[in-house]
Amino acid sequence: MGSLSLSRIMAVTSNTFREALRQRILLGLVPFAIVLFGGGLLLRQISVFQEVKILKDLALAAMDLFGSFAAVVMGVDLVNREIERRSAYPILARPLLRSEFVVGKFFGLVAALGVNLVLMTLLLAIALWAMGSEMTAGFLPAPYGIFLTLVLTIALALFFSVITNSILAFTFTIVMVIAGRFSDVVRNMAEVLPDIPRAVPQALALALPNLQNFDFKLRAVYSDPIDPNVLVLVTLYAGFYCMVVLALSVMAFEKKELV
Amino acid sequence: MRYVCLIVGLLALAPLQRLINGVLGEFKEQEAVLLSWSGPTMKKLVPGFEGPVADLFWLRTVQYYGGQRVFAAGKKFDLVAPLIDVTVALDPRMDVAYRLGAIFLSESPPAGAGRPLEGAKLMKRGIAANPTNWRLGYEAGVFESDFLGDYVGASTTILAASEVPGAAPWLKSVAAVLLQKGGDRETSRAVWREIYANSPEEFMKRSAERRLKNLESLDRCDRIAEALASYRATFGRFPATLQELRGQGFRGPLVDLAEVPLAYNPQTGTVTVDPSSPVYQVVR
Amino acid sequence: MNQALSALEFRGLAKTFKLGPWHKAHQALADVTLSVTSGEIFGYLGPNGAGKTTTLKILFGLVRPQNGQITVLGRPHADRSWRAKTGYLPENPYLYDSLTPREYLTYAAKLSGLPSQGLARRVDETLDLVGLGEARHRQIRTFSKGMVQRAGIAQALVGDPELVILDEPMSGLDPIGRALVRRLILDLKSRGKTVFFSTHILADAEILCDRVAILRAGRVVSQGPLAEILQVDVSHMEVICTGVVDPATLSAVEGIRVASAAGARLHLEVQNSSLSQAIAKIESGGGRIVSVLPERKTLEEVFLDEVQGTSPNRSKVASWEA
Repeated sequence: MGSLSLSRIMAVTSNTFREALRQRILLGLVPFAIVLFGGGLLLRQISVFQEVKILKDLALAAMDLFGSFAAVVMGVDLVNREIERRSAYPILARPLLRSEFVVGKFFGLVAALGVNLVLMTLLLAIALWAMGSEMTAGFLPAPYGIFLTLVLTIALALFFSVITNSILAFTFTIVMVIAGRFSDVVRNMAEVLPDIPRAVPQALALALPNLQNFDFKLRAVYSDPIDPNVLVLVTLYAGFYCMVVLALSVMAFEKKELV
Repeated sequence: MRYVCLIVGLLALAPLQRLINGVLGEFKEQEAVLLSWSGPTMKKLVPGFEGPVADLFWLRTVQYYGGQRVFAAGKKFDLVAPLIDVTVALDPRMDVAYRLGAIFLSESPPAGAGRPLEGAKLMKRGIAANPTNWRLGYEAGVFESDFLGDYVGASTTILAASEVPGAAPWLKSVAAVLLQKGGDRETSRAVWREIYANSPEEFMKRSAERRLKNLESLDRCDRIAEALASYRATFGRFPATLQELRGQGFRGPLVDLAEVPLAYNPQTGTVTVDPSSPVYQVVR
Repeated sequence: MNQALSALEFRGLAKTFKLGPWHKAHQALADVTLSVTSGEIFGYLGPNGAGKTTTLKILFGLVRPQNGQITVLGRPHADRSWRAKTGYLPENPYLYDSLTPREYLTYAAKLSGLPSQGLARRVDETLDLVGLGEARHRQIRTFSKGMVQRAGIAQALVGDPELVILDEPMSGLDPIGRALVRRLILDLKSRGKTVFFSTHILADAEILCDRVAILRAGRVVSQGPLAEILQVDVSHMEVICTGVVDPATLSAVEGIRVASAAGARLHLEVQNSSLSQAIAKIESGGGRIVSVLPERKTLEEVFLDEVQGTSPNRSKVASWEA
């Protein structure tokens, strides 16, 4: 089969990163900046001294929503589009392994959306400074949690992109992401539906990405300290979950016939 | 042709919308629509976005209250409570919602809903949800004294807040003053003694000392008042001076703890600490 | 065939596609067996749906065959090392249109394992070779179809491959572009490279190929050197002449047949034994000899003969081909 080559993976990663940027995802920063700075001015008038808190809430929600949407839309096209347009053919004809292709695509999009998130965080820091407030280090777990959410979303979108067409991949990914945000409801299904064997909701809860793990937004807005051990644990969770999904993606793609 | 369509279309839109508003407007229920769900239900519906949705409801609350207060003819404020309920269910840490929400609920009409008990309940909910927020506890106490006139209840609330780690040292003083205002001099004295014995702040100790002297002076006034009542029962009038009480066997001091003669009104028989005395304290 | 001289071999390649639970399985390749000698230009011909693209997809691992063996540059198919020495242009290539050709070729070259040193120079040389030197910094989305095709050829050549596989390389090219590609192919051969290309344009195959294979319904029905395929007829000569005043005088001569006439130009079919007589008659009749060649079929005639009478599922087969 051949051994993995880091340089080939890096080549796919940097190409995917460049393509993502050329799809103008960074243009999303413009309406984000307008919302931040315009919103900040407006909020002073109507929020009764809550403008800083509301701005942080708004910015984090925008980062989460925009990032998740971009992750789904761009993630489901990562492999699918290449197959439908046949741009993958001359690439896969090369010594590149299919696993390298999948992994490189994943990291390329993660890098692109990660850069986008960093820039949004910087814009928020500037907006807060303009309002006479500041962004402390204690705030950073919130955008970091959003980043981990995006990483899992991209992994899922990539997996569905491998196994089905764009529309179905989009639908399945959205369902998984929403279910992941309601993972406590899934876990509690055992109490609500006692006739179903307990193992079923438990297995389902385990299979779904528990995106609530990464939600530090409210705590960051109130500057609650977050235990570094928690950050380590959720990072590990994200890492292992992605590893499983990527492994499944690679296995599916290696078996796939590009008709 | 296309320019004609463009201009005619644009010119027609505004009057058409006005006509529609005129027909449909009377049937619109704009306000209640927002509150089809309870606080806990809303929280379940927006996992990960509780903060901004709470902010949205808070802004809506402020707009609603302001709109009712300034523009509305009826000035009902019916939706303040449910809007605040959703807001704090989504974000229990949003202390401005408790503080201002309680005021919106408690201000007498037409400035507010005129329901101070609901306001107090809201503040208690805030304290329960934010046990480490001593400032909220202090404001709840102030609310109880201002809107409910319950000085003893207010001082209990503020004393509880003073136990929160990091609470401002002056909370106990406020609680003690409120107790005195509420007529519970003994508990007030106990609180001042505790402050005097344990406060690391020198100015707090001095303040406590003055308060204790004032309370002791007030006790002396009370004992003199009893003697004056007895004198009047005997002679049908109040004595011209307090010294006359000595002739009736009264042996207690006629000065306050700063050795300043107590102020006496022979017409009304009232005896108080002289305002010029250093142990005089205003209790508002 | 001596494996050391063989650039590419297919033996008994077969592929059946399952179209879904409610459709019959479709056999795209029944038995493809052919061999490409190193250093030659090999034409892979067949109508739409014959299985040409499927063959190439199997070669590059995009689909898996049911049966068959493949050897590339003397190495087994499973040994991926031959891929670094092979270039592939798919039919109607889609390249990443937000990239410039320089960026795309750099990416492709890195995937082929070209070392960083000299990579930029190699990319620029390849772009110059296909006539895209001046457009190297323009995004591919601004390219014409012909330019995209040339960029696709460039990515196939950037790794300096020993074996070049081209699927419809002339597609979308204007006459200048086609002349360029023909020159490129011939140049590759002159440098000892092997070129395997599939095409519908039989004139190009006729000009370029040393050997061809004709595919019909998933089988190679004809394979070999072009001359053999075209069945050169040594008993008759094809004579083209102009200026003959009275063509009827030529037809009267035994062994001479006027095959066609276009204005003053006559195309004669002449038996070998009557050749000198025919030439004398033309010249005495005021005419001029343009060419004298052995009579042969055109590749188009051979091709049509081979593919006539193909299967009733031809349209469904066509839908499977890219």
